[in-house]
Amino acid sequence: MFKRVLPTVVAAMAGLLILLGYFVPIGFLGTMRIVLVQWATVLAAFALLLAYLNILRVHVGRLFRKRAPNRVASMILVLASIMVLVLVILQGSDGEFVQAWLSMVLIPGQSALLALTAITLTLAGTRLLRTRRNGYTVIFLLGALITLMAAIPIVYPPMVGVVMGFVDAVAMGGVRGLLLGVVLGIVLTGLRIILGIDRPHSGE
Amino acid sequence: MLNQDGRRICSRCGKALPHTEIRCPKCGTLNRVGNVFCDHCNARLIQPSQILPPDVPTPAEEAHESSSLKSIQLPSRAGSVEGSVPQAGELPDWLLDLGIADSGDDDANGETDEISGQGSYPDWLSNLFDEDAQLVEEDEELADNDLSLDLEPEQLPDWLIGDDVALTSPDAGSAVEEVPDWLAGIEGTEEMSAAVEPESLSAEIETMSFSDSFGWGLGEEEAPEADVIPAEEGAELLQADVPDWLSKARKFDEDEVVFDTAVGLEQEDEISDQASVESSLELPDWLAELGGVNAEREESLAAGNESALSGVDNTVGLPDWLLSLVPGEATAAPEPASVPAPASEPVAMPDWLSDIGAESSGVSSGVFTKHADTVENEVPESEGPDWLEHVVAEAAPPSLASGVPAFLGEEIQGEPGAFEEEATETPEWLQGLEFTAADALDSSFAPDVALGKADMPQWLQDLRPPEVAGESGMGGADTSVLVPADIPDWVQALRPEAGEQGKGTRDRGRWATLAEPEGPLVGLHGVLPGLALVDMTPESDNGRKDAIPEAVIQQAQFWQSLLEQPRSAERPVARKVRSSQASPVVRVIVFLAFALLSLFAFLLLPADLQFVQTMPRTLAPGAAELVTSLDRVQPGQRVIVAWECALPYADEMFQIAAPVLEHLDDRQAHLVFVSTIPEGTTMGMSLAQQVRYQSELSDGGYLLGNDNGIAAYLGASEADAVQHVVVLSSQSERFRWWVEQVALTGSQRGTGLSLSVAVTASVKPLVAPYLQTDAVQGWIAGYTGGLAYRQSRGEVLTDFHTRAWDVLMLGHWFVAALLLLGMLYSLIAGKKGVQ
Repeated sequence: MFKRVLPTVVAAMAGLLILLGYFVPIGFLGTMRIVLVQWATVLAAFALLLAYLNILRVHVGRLFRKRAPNRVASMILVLASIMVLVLVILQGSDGEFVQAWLSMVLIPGQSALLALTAITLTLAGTRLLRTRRNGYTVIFLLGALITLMAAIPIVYPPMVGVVMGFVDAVAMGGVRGLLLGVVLGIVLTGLRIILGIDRPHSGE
Repeated sequence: MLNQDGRRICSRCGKALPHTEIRCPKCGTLNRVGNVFCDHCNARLIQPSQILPPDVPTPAEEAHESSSLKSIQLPSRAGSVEGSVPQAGELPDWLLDLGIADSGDDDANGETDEISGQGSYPDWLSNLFDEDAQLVEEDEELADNDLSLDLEPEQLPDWLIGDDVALTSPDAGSAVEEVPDWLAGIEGTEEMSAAVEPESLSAEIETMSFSDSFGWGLGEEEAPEADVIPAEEGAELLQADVPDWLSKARKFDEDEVVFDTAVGLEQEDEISDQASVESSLELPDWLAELGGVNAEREESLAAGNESALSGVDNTVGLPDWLLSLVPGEATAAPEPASVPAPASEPVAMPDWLSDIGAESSGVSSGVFTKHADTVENEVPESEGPDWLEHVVAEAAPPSLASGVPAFLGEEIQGEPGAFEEEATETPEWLQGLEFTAADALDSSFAPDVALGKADMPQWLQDLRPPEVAGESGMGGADTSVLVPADIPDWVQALRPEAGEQGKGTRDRGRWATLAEPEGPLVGLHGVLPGLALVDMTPESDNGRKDAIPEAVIQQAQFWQSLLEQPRSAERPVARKVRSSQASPVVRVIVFLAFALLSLFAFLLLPADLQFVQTMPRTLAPGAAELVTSLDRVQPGQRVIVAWECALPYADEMFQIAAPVLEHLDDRQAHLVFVSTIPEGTTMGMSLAQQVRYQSELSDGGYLLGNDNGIAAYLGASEADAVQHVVVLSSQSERFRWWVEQVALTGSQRGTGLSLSVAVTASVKPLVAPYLQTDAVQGWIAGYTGGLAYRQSRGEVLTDFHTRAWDVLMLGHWFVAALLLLGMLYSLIAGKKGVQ
């Protein structure tokens, strides 16, 4: 009862209310939809807090374990997380120290990693035909070359528009197909949950 | 016909013989006939109690229990054909084998032999008989007297037919028919005495049951209805029929019979004295010699002169086990102190012989008289046992006396008067039987021959029921007198041997039938092959179906190998693939190329030289629409700026979003930074500070719940005044959330909610389907889009912008060139690892 029936009923009712709130112009349904979404936001906030505490628990436990790997990294993570938490609490999310920490540490570091990714991808592309030689590899490399040429308006500027149009058409067609599939899957999953066929909230 | 064990088809008719095996009582494995121990678990297949069962079932019971344990004799061959087990269980098997000859007709169809009351011969004798028959067939002189199994009943001698004239009395019980003739001859007079039917002595004679009197040697079948005879007459007859030494042995073998010791011994003395005189007239020579020797022995013992006996040496040709037949064993057996005459001590007689004597009388009458004082020893000559009469009669002819035993002489005799002619046809091995026994009788008086319990090996003693062992006259004998010479070789050969671990004595069933090296059966083959005693039906062959599957065995071996592997053994680990030495070099070259290209564009390239000739506006068609969309923002109007850009793309996003924020600042819009990324609003605020945003700024905060958070924020009252949403994203999924929720909120409001987009170059192909919809009023992508937006607003690109643009274009060319070179090199060099 409390493990299968009740959660299923609650989930189905919540889904139906929100769905009706989108399609039926009734104020009560709209209000119920907003209330339920806010409940979900609060629960997500607690989930984020739990995630933060879990990270601290794991890495603090690793600090006190003698043979634990990467104890130094764990120590840095714990210290950084505690320090940022304290600074944000004291100065807020737009404080000077938080801004400086973000713009001087986090963003350059992440950008450097992304630049290395560019070099790595370039090298991988050059050796791709040596390790895997088939039709898909050739298509992948040709697609990359065409995209690069489309972004290079140096050789012949009128050609840029043609190439860009070709790339957009191909990419847009493929992505739209993917998106439609994703949307259909989401709808189907929502209906199964609402109808009680799938019960992820009860562990089934 | 009885076939040798191990044969699959009948040697005569060629039909398949039933396959017999012994099921282990412990594990159920079917073992070869002949195994004493199980091949699988080494458990004993035949328990001692089964080898020498105290009771022998009736033929009907045997027929009913055809699949159960049957024969009881250890040194005999188990009948491969059901029903071949001798019925006359009253006798010890080996003695039965000696006396019983083939009397039954073999079933030509391979059916089981009928269990006749005459008793079927043991296998080894049947083999001998077959061999003899073959020899006779080859011998033309014996062709007329073929001893094959096809003899007609009328051609058979009496002892083979079993229909002795003396036993044709209607009062003869069924048990009489089960006794062989030569033994029935002993009881023939008893039958006759029983036929007299005198007055009942039930009130005066204590009876004992048939089985009780015979102990282990008898079956469990009920004794035939007691023929009550007068005490005096019955005692006379009984005592006259049985030799004195046998009768005394019998008396001492029965514990149930309570004798008055003093009276009994005195009477026995009298009986022995009288019998020694009278029986000398009836007994054959060799038995008469026994009596004479007994008398001499008594005298010699009385005189203390045993040296006179030592000179008698007639043991040549007599096996040791036959020595136990003679009454002279009494000299080696302990004798009661009250017995004056050691020659008549029944203790000296083996219990199996006493069983014979008791059985012969018990079979005929079914009762025993306990009042020995009423027994008279005067025996009519005509009432002597048949076989003894034949022996006496046949003792005269020198041909028979030279080697043919009495019962065999009777067999050969066939018809009265034809003995002399047919005696010559007797096989030699049979001719030597009697006289070797007679010689053995004489030799048994040698003082250096220790008999008694030594006649029975210990392993055979263990097989006997305990009550029999206790009752046996040899039970009190000292076993230390046992010497190996007393055990016949064939018995020694049957001694169970311990096999190897988990291996039974299979070879026993394949023993060759070697010729007897010595004794009366010298030169004969197939003598007493040690085979087991159990016949199993072919239907019981179910044990072999329990074989373990090969897969199970392999699995068990696998787990065993895992368990045997030590814990410290190194586990196989993935070997690190060593990259070629050229890889680091190529990486360094690529890195240096990128770095030099950037420096060249910024430091070495002349200011008037510009690679980018094309205006960025042509590359960003949505830039103009975005400018138009933001131009509609009114001063002080709240504009939601969703910062959905990750940190690695922050720098790129700064180049893209900076002209947009500058435009909004120009429009004096109130910017509210929100994000579904925790650090999103912080980065947005940082960007605003970089562009020196002068208008109102606010931090809308982190939106929990992803798309739900966006929906909740847009549905809140504080977002009611918002007319425009700018999404700055480097992630397609988050961008999709915003597009969907903004479109939904705008439709719900009815007034609409415009959406402007600025995305990074990498995410542009993924969000392209959303960019070219009505939900998005304007969009730019990548650094090119930022420059295009500036150009669309009419700004003049600075030197920094143009050089950065050139570096970006050179970088693209460089990457494209590397890819082309790599593809050509790969096509020339071939696939890696392929020669």
